[in-house]
Amino acid sequence: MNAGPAHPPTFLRGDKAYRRQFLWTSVISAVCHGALFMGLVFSPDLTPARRWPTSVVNVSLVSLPDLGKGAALNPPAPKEARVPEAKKEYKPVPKKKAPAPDLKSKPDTISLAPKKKEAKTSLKKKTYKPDKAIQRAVENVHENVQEKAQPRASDLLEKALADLKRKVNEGPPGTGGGQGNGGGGKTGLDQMDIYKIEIAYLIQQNWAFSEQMVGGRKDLEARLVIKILPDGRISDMFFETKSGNAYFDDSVYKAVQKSDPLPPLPRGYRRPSYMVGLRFTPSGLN
Amino acid sequence: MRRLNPSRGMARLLFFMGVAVMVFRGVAGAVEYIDINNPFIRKIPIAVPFFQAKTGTEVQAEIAEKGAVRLAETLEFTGFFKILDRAGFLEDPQRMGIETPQIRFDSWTTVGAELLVTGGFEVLDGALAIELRLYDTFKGRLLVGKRYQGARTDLKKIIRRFCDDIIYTLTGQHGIFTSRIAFVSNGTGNKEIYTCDFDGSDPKQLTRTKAITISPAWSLDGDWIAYTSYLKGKPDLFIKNLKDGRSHQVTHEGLNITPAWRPFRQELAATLSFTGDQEIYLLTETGKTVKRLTHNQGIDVSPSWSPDGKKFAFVSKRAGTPQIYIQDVESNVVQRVTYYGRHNTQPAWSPAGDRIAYTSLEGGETNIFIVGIDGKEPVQLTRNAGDNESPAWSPDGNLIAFCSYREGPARIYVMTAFGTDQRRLLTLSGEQTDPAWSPRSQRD
Repeated sequence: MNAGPAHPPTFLRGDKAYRRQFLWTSVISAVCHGALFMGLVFSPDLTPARRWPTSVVNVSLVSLPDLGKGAALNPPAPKEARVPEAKKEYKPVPKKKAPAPDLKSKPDTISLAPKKKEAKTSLKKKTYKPDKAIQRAVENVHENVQEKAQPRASDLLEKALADLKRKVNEGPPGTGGGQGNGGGGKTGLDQMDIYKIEIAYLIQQNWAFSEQMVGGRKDLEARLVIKILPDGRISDMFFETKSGNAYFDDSVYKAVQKSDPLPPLPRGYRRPSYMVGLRFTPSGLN
Repeated sequence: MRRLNPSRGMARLLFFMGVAVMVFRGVAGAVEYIDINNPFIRKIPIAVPFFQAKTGTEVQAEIAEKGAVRLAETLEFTGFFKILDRAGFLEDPQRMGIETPQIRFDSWTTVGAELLVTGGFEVLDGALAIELRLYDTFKGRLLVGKRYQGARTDLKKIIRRFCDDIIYTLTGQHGIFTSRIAFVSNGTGNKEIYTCDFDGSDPKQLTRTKAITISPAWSLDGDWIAYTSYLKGKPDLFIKNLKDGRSHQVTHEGLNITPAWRPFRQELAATLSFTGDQEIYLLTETGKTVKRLTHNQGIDVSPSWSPDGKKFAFVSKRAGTPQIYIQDVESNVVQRVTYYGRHNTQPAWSPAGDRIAYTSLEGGETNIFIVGIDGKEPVQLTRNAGDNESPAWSPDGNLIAFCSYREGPARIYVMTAFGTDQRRLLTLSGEQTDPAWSPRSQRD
């Protein structure tokens, strides 16, 4: 009669030994996958300090078509006190200064300002909100624009803002959902990302480079590594790779020299210095 | 059948998991990079304080100021430099040091100068001795320093020479300071050929044909100039030696137009129509025909040679509309360059050999474009400023002279090869058209 085909022993239809083996394998696999996932997410850090994201920030500040646009961005009255921006802008690089605290100049100002910022830092840890981060970043960029008195900054601000928003939107799903009890979970954007955008903006503002000098070459690339102390001073800088064109390399080196000191590192950053690489290319021209 | 040992499998998995985490940590531990790819300042900030008179008489103040101003203007013309305002300087030019040990470079980096030019001079019995130096302010290093002696009237020439030294020091190539520009002007009532210095100074009338005279073209050594003139009632070619005055004519039946000198050879290409069809021919400097270059029914005009003289760009209507083509002289292989636009003419091959500037008529407006010789990436250099035409490259390939109607009458303008810094070259009575930039003079 129709006895039907005899099924070969499989994991689902086999004998008990096969079933047991399948069960074991499944359990082991699930445990290992879970362990791997947890290891990647919570991998042990050698230093007790908090972990800083290591993503590359791609800051392409767009060229600004005409000088007239900057006029509208002239700052309102309150920050007029910062007059000698030109002197600050072109201060030569101090060579290899030790990260010793600046005891002479700081005491007066530290007592007031840090308290406010500490409060902000702790707030950030508990209820981190991307909107506030964006607002603060924009304020910082505004301050920089005032200090440098550079024209045509409005477009740059818009671009920086757009970058920030984009980054916030690109954060891991669920972190930006506005639940409020997230406990300061990692988002796509944090203080260091904003800081990197700030220093990229400042250095780019000080970068003087004539494309004509290199015959319109767009294939040049120089990588410069800088070490930033907590107060923003650049304690060390060196070329990781040069472009091969002396003029181009000189121009990027001078851009960093002019930008020293950079803004202080974010207060939440607890390491003695911050080492970051700068990749210069003239590709944004025209 | 091989059975899986659960404990061994677990151990293997944990091992691979550990390796994966280590790799992840290794990648994460590398220096992170920030991309910066759009310099905010497109020129080199340079400070040119007034020169220092060593003998210190009042009369020499004029040289001190005029010399520095002229040097700054000459450098600025190149488009490389941003001349810093002297009002912002922290040093008194008459008291500051002009040599390395005495210069306080901090004073110059503070005002944003990346380069500094200092000058000191003395005048004795009408003779001028002048020392000019270029410094890198951030490195505190002398880049080039020269001492010149000559008559007081040689100041302009001395300054141009030093400017050339500056450009050579910075770029490894000589500048344009000994070149001249030929152009057509109708200030006398007739279109005649004129020449002027690279910066529009010292204009001179070259031809006095009292007829329509157009399309000047320089030979590679700058000794010869060819042009088209209607002296005999129709367009003929005239070839003139500027040194000894020798001249030759090409007066074939029909058109004899758009001459272009071939680099490294005393030959020129021009459009002749004695066969009834406009074709490009290769001619000797005396006007004899060497060979016919183009073989196509229809208009073939406006040749422009590649820097090595092996190819030439030209305009042809073989595809129905005037477009730019490139032809190899030996193989006669023709390659179309322009595809964008329905009316592309007046090609000018760049000195570097990689690009061609041309004029394009689009939307009722004529503008200047450049395109790679492979036809890729056409870039519009002029826009919203009247009609712009007749591009001509400077010998270093950094500037383009062109004719513009933006003020109403036609004038000669100059811009960088990126379309920036567009400014009028000179103002004469009448209209000026057809600029042609000479090579660098070997004599100056």
